[in-house]
Amino acid sequence: MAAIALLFVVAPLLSLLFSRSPLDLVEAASDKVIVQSIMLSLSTSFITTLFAGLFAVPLAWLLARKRFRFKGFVSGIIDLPVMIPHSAAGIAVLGIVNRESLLGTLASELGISFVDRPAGIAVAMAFVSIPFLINAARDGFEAVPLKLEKAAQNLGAGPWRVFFTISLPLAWRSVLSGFVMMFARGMSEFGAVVIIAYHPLTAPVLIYDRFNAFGLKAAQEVSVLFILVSLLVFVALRWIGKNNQHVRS
Amino acid sequence: MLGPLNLNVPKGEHLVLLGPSGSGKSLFLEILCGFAWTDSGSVVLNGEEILGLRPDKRKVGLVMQHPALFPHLTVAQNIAYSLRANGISGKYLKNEVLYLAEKCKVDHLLQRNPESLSGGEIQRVSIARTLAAKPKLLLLDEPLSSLDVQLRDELRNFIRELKEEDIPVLHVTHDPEEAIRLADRVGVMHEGKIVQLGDPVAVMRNPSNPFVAKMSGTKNYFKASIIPGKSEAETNIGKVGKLNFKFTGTADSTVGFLLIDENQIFISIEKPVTSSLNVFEGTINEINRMHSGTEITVDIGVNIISRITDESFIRMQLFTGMTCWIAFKATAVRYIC
Repeated sequence: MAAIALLFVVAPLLSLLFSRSPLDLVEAASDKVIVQSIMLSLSTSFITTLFAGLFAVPLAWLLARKRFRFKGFVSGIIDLPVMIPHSAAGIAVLGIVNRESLLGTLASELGISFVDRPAGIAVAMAFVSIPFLINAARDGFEAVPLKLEKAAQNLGAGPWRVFFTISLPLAWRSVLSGFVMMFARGMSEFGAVVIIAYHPLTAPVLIYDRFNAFGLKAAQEVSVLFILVSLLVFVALRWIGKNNQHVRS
Repeated sequence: MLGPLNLNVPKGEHLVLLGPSGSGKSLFLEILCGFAWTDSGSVVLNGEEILGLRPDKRKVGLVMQHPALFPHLTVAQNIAYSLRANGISGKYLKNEVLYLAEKCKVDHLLQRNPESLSGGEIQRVSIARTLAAKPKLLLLDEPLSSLDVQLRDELRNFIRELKEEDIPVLHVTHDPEEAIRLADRVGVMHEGKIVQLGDPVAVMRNPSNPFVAKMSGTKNYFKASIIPGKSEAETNIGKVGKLNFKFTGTADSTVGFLLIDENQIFISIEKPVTSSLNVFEGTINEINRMHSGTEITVDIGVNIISRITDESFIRMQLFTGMTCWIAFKATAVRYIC
């Protein structure tokens, strides 16, 4: 039974990977549009993840360590983007960042536009992928024994020092894992991104675009290349995470 | 529920709070550290009210029962933690870490990770780390209870040496032996209150109520119906089941508790001819070889424990099931109403 479940995941991926010859892939790699779309997906997701981390990690710590009113409600809201259809998520985000909205108007006065812009792609990516970072980081902070933080406070460390010298170093692996998951989820996002920004083309949107315009074979080239690049990035990030692993009591 | 609690620990004093689990000892320490809150009251340290201060501002050092050494830092970094938190760095930090490590005899462990240390070493590092923060009050939360006997003796001596630091020490434990060996004063805690406070030997020998007697480790502890003597010269009788225990002193209630020090109960193989007023025949039903001496439990209608030397135990060739006699003086019985 387990083998069937595994095969269910592996078979389509293997079929896709072997659907194109290495020569086709080399040709695809020299296609400027494909390369740009992959780079756009990777870079936007990476910057979005780093930027979101500035807010998501402190929120994760709050959820792990502090008691406050409506905490359960807040936790539930954080999981919402994972539950709802991503095209609906895109519509929801577009509702507040379109040019006629309050936020859209304010942003355009600052020279920022979201619709059909990388900033819009970033917002869509962040909306659907931030729960992965918050949840992983919260689990990591919860796993840090509270008595270590108390010991640090007792030794004269203020809240910030406790966070940066005890909580974060001990939860680092989970936090990094959250970053990797958010990055992965963000760069592969199609539904929400396509609603806010069809152009510039991210890799998932390009796959859809090529499929509609040229059929399965053209879409497979982009897909295989994108999967290979993604795998490389993941392996690299996991490797970094492993080397940064700390022993936890 | 904790309190009312009123304690004053002078500089250099080692005050031990003795109490069972759930008596409120650890909660009391948490309040002092700022990890738990109290509805009312005041904690004054060196003339300064600290109850409203954040834990990191209190200068109250806590050594936990299971020390929380930071697992991602070396021993040296653990000791240096509070120094860095106070903005100390460079050569002074290095010297201070080395000084404390030498003092706590962990200088050979400085580059080790906490997970490679033994229980005793962990406690020493924990104490060194706490002393580095230069606390104005040192709290010890059952620091010896997770250690084996040998390490416990070693660390107990080390804690005794902490007196040189001249820091007031508030130490909580459930072990009366620990209290008597370390305390300048001992307070017995029961249901969140201090029920007796004073010199450790005096508290152990003259418990003010049955709970303190139990905590002080007196094992021969009986509820009795009291028949007071008709005059001061006449002994009182405490009826424990069918047995009559004779005792001296004033007995002014009909029910009370009798405590008999196990070291004052004599065992003989034949009926003794003695001045003791309490002489009973019984059967040995348990023999326990202890760290010092042997405890013999004799069933005389109730179980009564006598502690004798190993030499006497071997000489008398006592065994479980053997019939013997026990004797104790009327003055060996302590009465608590």
